[in-house]
Amino acid sequence: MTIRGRTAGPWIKISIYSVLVVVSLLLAFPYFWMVITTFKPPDEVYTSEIRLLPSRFSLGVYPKLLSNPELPVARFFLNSLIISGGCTLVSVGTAVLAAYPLARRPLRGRRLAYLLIISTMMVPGEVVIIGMFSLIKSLHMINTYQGVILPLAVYAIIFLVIYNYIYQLPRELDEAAIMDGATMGQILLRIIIPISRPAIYSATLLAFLHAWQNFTIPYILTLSQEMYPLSVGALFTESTLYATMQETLSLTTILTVPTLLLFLLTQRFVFSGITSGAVKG
Amino acid sequence: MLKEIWRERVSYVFILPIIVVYFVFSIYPILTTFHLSFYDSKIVRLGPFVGLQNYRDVLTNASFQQAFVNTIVFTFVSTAVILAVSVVLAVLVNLPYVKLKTLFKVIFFLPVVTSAVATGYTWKWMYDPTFGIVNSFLSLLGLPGPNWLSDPDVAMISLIIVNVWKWIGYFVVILLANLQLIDDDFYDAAAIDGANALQRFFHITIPLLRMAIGLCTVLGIVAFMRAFALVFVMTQGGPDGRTELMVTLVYKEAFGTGLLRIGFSAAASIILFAFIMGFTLLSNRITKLRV
Repeated sequence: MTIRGRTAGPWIKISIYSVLVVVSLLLAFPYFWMVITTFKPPDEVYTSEIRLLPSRFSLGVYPKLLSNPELPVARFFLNSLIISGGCTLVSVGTAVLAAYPLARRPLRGRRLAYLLIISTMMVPGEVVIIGMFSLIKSLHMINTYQGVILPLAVYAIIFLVIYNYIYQLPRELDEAAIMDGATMGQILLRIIIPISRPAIYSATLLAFLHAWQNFTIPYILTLSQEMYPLSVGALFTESTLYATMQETLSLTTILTVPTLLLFLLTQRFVFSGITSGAVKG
Repeated sequence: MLKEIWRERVSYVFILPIIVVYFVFSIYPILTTFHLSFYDSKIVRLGPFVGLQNYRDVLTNASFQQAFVNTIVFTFVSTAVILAVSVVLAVLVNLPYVKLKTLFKVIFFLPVVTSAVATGYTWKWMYDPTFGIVNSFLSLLGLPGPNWLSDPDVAMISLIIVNVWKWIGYFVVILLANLQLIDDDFYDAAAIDGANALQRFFHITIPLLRMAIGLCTVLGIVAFMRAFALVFVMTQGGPDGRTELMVTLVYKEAFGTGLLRIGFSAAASIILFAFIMGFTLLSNRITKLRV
């Protein structure tokens, strides 16, 4: 007997797959269109006729964009890398250090520290732009890398991913080491970090993606082109340099493709990070 | 007690960095914003103390009222539509005879890992009334294409469509992870009792997903109430302020117009923060209720 419709008739299967395929096409099409548009010859870009593939492959405006001295695209890219790398280092580093004692040690003030960390989720950067600008200005960190990295490094999800993982490890792991007289540093380095690698990978990816995509923080806290990451550079290109559609889309392609590739290669860890703590029975 | 703390001194040293970074770069700025909201300040120099005057100005300001209503509409319509669509998609992907589950999940998630700036510009040009592919497709079907971003009655809907497009995958992934925890026995028992697919959906799946749906609701509300980049890139709040959101207004009042109304913007930020906090606490309370 068939239970729970574990099998289904062909028509039901066909309609279910059709729904999923149509939704997939709707969700993926804008990327396809964005990338293809940048490789079309100009006369095929500015037309209302539908042309999914270019009649001949063109490098589009990439050579012009990359050699434009007013628009340091390579510098934007480098800035994005520095900001995302720095943010990843700070957020994952502080989270790994704190998650172990908070998850496993009988500390006074443990709950308070945990609540302070979690409560930052209610204070996203967009809500505190006034206070953030005034803080970074009084620290003389406007238009510096650290002035963008540190605000972006506050990302409690990173802490939660690592904390949840360490919390559910069996107690015997570190209890035996404590009996043997190992120090906290040794336990963390030799036992906890190696065994928590999946969670640390997830956290690293989430932190990097978060910083790479963010716009508001660098937009408010940087002032000059040499400091812009790609997300701000794209806005600068469109609004200040009156870029054409093809130029803007070329910049968003450079902004998007690296993280899409990173995600495709590491989707397992991204998903486990996203659902860590979001799975409730 | 001191002895206890001394014994765990290394633990406290380990915890210190995250506490310092999170306090200085998140808690302190909201406290500063709160403080500034009581002063008539320009940029960072503190002006005269004006008590609740900024709040009075904000609440009686027509632009703020419009931005507030817009933010609520944007947030709640987006959340409701995404929830409805993503529950259905997650259930379909989770069906035992559907293959390529990971592929669907990955495709649905692509917009989530795309920056709002890239999303905004891509859609802005897809919506373009002259060269945009959306209207080209519509005219292929013989339908008239609206001026997606410049028609005051359509612009908000256009933005919500993009927002829904961007976030569906996030909700699907969370719901799917929760669906996979549901014991097959529930469905087997129901099937033996003669429950059809719709009955199983409404009487088993939805109640068991209650917590996950609650969680998605909070995540959606908190993420969409603070929306900035997408709208800033696509419409700058126009036409006629019809897509102005609270954060875009705060930004403009503080940095955008040259007015530098720091006190006003700070008060508006605090009102926004109060809503985000209220919804978070409320939803936490609702989802923790066990029936």
